[in-house]
Amino acid sequence: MTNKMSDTANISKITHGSTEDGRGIRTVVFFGGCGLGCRWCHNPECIPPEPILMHFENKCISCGQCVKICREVFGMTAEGIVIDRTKCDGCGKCISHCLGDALAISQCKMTFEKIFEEIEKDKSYYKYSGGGVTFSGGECLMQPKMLKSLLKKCATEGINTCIESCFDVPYEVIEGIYQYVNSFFIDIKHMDPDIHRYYTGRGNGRILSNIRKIFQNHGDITFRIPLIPGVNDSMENLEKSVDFVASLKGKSEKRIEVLKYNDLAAPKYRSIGRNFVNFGKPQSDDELSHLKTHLNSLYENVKVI
Amino acid sequence: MENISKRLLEAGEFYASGYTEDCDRSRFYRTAKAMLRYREHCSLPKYNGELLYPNGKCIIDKMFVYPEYAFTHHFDYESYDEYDRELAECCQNNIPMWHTVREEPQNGPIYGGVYTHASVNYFRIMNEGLDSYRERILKCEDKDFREGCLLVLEGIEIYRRRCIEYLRSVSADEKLIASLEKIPFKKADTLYEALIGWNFIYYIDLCDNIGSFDRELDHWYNGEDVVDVLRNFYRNVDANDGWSLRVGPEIYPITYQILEASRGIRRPSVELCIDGDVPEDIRLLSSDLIKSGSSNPCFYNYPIYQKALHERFPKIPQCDLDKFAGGGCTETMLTGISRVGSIDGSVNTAYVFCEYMNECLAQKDTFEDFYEGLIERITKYANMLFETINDSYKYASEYMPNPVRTVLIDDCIDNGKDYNAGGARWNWSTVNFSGTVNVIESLLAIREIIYEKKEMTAKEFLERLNAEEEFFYKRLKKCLHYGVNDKCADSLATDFLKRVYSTTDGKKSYFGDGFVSSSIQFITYVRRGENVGPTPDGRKKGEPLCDSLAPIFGNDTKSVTSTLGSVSSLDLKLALGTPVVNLRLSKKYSDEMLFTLIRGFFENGGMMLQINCISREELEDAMVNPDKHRNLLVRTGGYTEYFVNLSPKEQRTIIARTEYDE
Repeated sequence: MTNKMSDTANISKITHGSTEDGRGIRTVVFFGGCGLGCRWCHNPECIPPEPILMHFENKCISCGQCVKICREVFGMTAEGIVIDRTKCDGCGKCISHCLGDALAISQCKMTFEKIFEEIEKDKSYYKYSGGGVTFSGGECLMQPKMLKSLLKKCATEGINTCIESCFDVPYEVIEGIYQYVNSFFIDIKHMDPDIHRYYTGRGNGRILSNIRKIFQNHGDITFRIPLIPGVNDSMENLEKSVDFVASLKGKSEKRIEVLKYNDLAAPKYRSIGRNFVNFGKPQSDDELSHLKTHLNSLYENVKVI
Repeated sequence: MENISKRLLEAGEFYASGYTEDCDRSRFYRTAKAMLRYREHCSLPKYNGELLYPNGKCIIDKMFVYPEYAFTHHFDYESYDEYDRELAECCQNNIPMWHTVREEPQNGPIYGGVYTHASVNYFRIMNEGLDSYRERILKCEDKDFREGCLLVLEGIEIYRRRCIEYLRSVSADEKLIASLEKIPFKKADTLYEALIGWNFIYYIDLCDNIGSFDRELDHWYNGEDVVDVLRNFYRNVDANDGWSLRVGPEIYPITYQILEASRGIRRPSVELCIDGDVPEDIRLLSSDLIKSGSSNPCFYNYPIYQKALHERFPKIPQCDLDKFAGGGCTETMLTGISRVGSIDGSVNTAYVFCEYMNECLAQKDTFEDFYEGLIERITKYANMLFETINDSYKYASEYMPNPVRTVLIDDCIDNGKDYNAGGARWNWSTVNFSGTVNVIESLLAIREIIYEKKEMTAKEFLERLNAEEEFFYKRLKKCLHYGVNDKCADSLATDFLKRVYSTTDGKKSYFGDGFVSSSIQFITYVRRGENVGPTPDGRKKGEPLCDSLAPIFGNDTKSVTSTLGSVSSLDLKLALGTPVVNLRLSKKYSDEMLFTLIRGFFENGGMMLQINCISREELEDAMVNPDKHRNLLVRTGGYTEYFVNLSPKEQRTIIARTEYDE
């Protein structure tokens, strides 16, 4: 499967020099579009499969350049800029004219060549740090053709690969790519299917089933549990999550990372015209310490970050 | 003249007295006599129980004419009124002073008046002893040259004797006295003796560079702990605003001590050469030093410097290339065997750009035409600079000999030629191009706004730029930047660097091996910006220029690897004189990640990297409460300085640097 120039993927952004998305220094490719709709998602602009206009109010200096460029979408009132996103076709022309850097488009189409060119840029830094590329999102597995081509190319070029995913895709997709992936980060959001559906839009049956299958076939998997106050941070749910991982049979070392809650995504929600739901305060150091002690008593390979 | 000489001596003008003694002899001889008289009569620094001697400030006496390493001697014009007018005039009439022959405007398109840093051949002096130098000097045919060189040795001997007598009078450490009885005329037999000698010769050379250090000291190393002696030496270097030393890439046991001794001391600037893997303990020590606020070491890509030197000077054999070390800030030179003009002069590319843009932009129909015209204009000024430097060298080689360096730097004695007339084994002149990145960014903005997107006419562009209109400046900031590892931007930067820095190619210097280009700004990037109007990189009138080849701060926020990617996309070997790159990292950077960045950058062609790990908050607090941060060290331009010693403008440029977090 070789991608041609005409083949494109929806890419939200590509960041360089990351040290938080896998081992070493990494380039992170954020794919656009996700099958879930987690209410706490830190990249809400990546959830829809199509581009959304983002407007960061805190950066807007009301220079009016956007209104001059696109009167269909933008208007100026005494309160500032108003936006009608339903009229926006995602062309992005307004962005280069915005003098405050307040506008952005959540996704753009990128060719295989262009994406790989970005990945290749930091090759030397991967080599010395044990880093590589991390495919994230959105849900990178929802664009399997491009993902597979990139993974194969990286394997050929000796670039380490990592996938961050919620695994809510048909197993065939995972089966088609896992041999080219060096490591996985897989989210476990909730063990109760109904609560999972309520907060993410979908149940967890396919996710857990996929995890059981991949665990038999792949040797480097880390599970991540984002702590969402009042949603999945009960000891009962966390114990179940840990038990689930502990019960898995297969090749991989079983690693769990429990991630502290934060509300840093609030400006992103506002930028796409969505309300940000704050689930509560970030856990205190004492709470996290207590949690770590307790979860470690059940299963030693749990980190709380 | 005999009478004048006597009067000068009585007035404490030791140097001038010696110079005016033998008017019928050559200037070389007279300069040597001047140094002899200076060493006979100069005050000795006070001994306070230190491990080494001399210590502290090298030049203590107030003299209208005083010796100096770069210019042979200086006139103290700043305190002119404090001297006897008649004697001062007599000095001016009888003693030449180094000057730029052509009086170019010092704050214009070109500036500088030839300058030189060097490191003398410490190793040879310590390993052979100066007595062996006498034998070589006696073989020189020219009488004045031979006798002048002998006067240098005589002056060193007299100074040494005076030091010993003084040390005895204050009951100084016997071991120190015994060592000074031996060196530098007899060879050093122990590491301690070698260090005593290194320090002594450092003062004889009037306190410039230490050169390649660990590979040379290793010759004497026998398991001793000399950190305290080294720190004493460094304090002396610091007290005299001295400069640099090199360690690596081979790591010797003494390397650790040399690095450790630099902790918290401003000078010397320590250059750690790297060739592939760096041992873990050196990694840990280096990053600990940087994070603890030493701003040392900076990092050199050893193989690439070697390759670039070999390509530029194919005649230099490998054994000489091994003597590579930065001198002055970080200029490329060869320890003990080179005379490198550094920095001999600069083209202020931002000034030239500004002049050219305001004059020609409206007449150029295409970006290519505009660009070619700019290159032509910069080349014109560069050629003017080369001529100016050569004229100055012609003057210096006739009027301003340097007998001390002639004796202490190879192969002046064997060539029978003064150091300032091309006697050293290798000679080249380093020129600097300041404002390089300002011009690159300005070109990107002009290409995008006027020629590609045609958002406005050149006339409107210039009007809004020169009016420093707020929204226009915001638009400029949105242009494609150098520093985000974008192919399109970086290729323009690469071409500009190639076209401009290649202007030194094939240019003949007055003596020696030609010119090399560099990007090294010391602290001049602030002053050189003062008379440059607004530039389309978003810089306002009078603001400082860029301080290195790193991207303009604030335009490089994509990621640290993108920043380094843009820099390494340039053919940095073109700036062999040294392409300084300053980078500020968060203290949170792990040792492993810090070296990953260095090695990745070097693999991609990076030549040198200066890293500061100081937070914005700490720097801002130091501006407000300098007393609390007296020892805060930063790398700026190409050297290390106490942050609180910098001017507020300079301080602000350092605070403005983008801080990368892990």
